[in-house]
Amino acid sequence: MKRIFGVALGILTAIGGFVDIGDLVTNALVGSRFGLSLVWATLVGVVGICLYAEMSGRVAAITGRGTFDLVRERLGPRVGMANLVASFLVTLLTFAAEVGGVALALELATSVNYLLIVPIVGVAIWFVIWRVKFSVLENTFGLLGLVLIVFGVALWKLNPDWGDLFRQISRPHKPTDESLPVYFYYAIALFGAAMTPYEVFFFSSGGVEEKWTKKDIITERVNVFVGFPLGGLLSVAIAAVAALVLLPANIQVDTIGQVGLPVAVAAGKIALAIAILGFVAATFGAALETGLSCGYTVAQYYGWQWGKFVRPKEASRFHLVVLMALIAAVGTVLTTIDPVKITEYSVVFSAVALPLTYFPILVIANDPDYMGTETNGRISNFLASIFLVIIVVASVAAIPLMLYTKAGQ
Amino acid sequence: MNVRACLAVFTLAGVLSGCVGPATTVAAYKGKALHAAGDALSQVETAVLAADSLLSGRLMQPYTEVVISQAETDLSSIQNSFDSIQPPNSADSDKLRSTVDDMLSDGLTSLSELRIALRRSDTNTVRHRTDALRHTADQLDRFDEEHS
Repeated sequence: MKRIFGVALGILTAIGGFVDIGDLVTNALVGSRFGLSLVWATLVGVVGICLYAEMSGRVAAITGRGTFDLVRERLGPRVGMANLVASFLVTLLTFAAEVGGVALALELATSVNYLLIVPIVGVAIWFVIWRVKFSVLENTFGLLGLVLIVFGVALWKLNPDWGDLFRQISRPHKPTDESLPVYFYYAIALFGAAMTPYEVFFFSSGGVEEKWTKKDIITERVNVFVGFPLGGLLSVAIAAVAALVLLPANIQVDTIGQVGLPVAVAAGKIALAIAILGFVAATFGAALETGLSCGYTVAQYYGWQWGKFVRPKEASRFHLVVLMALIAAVGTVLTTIDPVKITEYSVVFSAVALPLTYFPILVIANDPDYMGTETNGRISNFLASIFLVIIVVASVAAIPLMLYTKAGQ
Repeated sequence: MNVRACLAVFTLAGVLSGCVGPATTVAAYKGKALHAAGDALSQVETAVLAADSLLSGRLMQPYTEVVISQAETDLSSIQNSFDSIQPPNSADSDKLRSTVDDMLSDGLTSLSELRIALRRSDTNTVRHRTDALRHTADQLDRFDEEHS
């Protein structure tokens, strides 16, 4: 019974924890401009994150060590450093976007300017990371994030032509008023939002924090292969309500307030209040994950004691990195750069950094010296290799497309 | 490529992708005018949808205030960006500039008045300003259809 409860909790937190500021903004933005013609990019991203998250979780369960520790040992300090720098910078940018996202969500509820809320959010994040147990913070915000199911309810209340929605998804085509480069730029953004590197670091480091062993691999697989796809469905629901309400009204999403408008139109004030709670939970939970991931990456690479499974004074350098990252994230948002713009750039730069993040995981998951009999199977390697090609193509195309389309204009 | 070069590329990409370039031909200027009108239409329609939802009891006051205030800030930024573009030396460009600028100004004025009425809980003015914004949205939409 305890095991079933653990699996169910893991699935629910994986669903609730899947959506962050990048998914919220990018899916709503794309839905409002392209309808559901780019859902395929989200689906591809979800399959990719499932494959690589399962691999990294299995590596954590078998070796009991963090990803960056292994990458440095297996591929050497140079490759390890390239992996570290790319992953850390993208995670830091995402961290800033999440901090801004929490403040923007609270601004919607209070109408107090988000810049006044940012320092309070920073203190709250620091307090939770410092004081709250890992399992509590992971489960609480993951479960609260589940309230974003209200987007699914709103979709149902809008009473759409389901056949037409399915046609848009199954037979994607570029809208006539959008150019092909812009279409593919947003495909890469959706792919980057679904495959954000920090999700894998956090998932695998969480496995070490929770002392996974070989026996936990089944639970880990169920969490990934059930929880993440259901989280992906939430992303599709966000895009769908934007496509139904905002696209016909010529509204292109560039604020988080616009993301929630379809929920109000479809289901009224209470549903919108639930959506705001979901925004806060999803972004705050992701802020904790990205903040911790900043610490995980650096501490694991340098071989320092890390994690919340030891007391803060025993992992002082890890906590110092988390604190410095938090100060940098809060400082970035306080420069008054629009957090939604930070989000848009963070998902595209995530796509750029993907090969450096995922290739080393594939190498380690295939090394019997680390994995024993639990190395990748043939199907897993076949799919992972196909995804590596997709990841490299997305990574190489991201910046030229960003420049050519002026960031999707 | 070393780490410093990567950082330079990332920074440059971010900066360049946000730049507003000059318009050297009438066609290029028309493209920028259409782009500004499209962006403005999005902001005006956002405000109309938010105000309509508030009037029908589907949206909370603080949420509406934030959405409309952001739409106003964004529309002001769109107008500033458009006005900063040097048009080519032709009567057509000057006419285009004047048409778009008038629509953006009308939208901005209505949005400001809507925000003020909203904070005063003046429902009548909110309704009238929403109608005015609907009119601006129609103009922007027509402009887009005529010039695309």
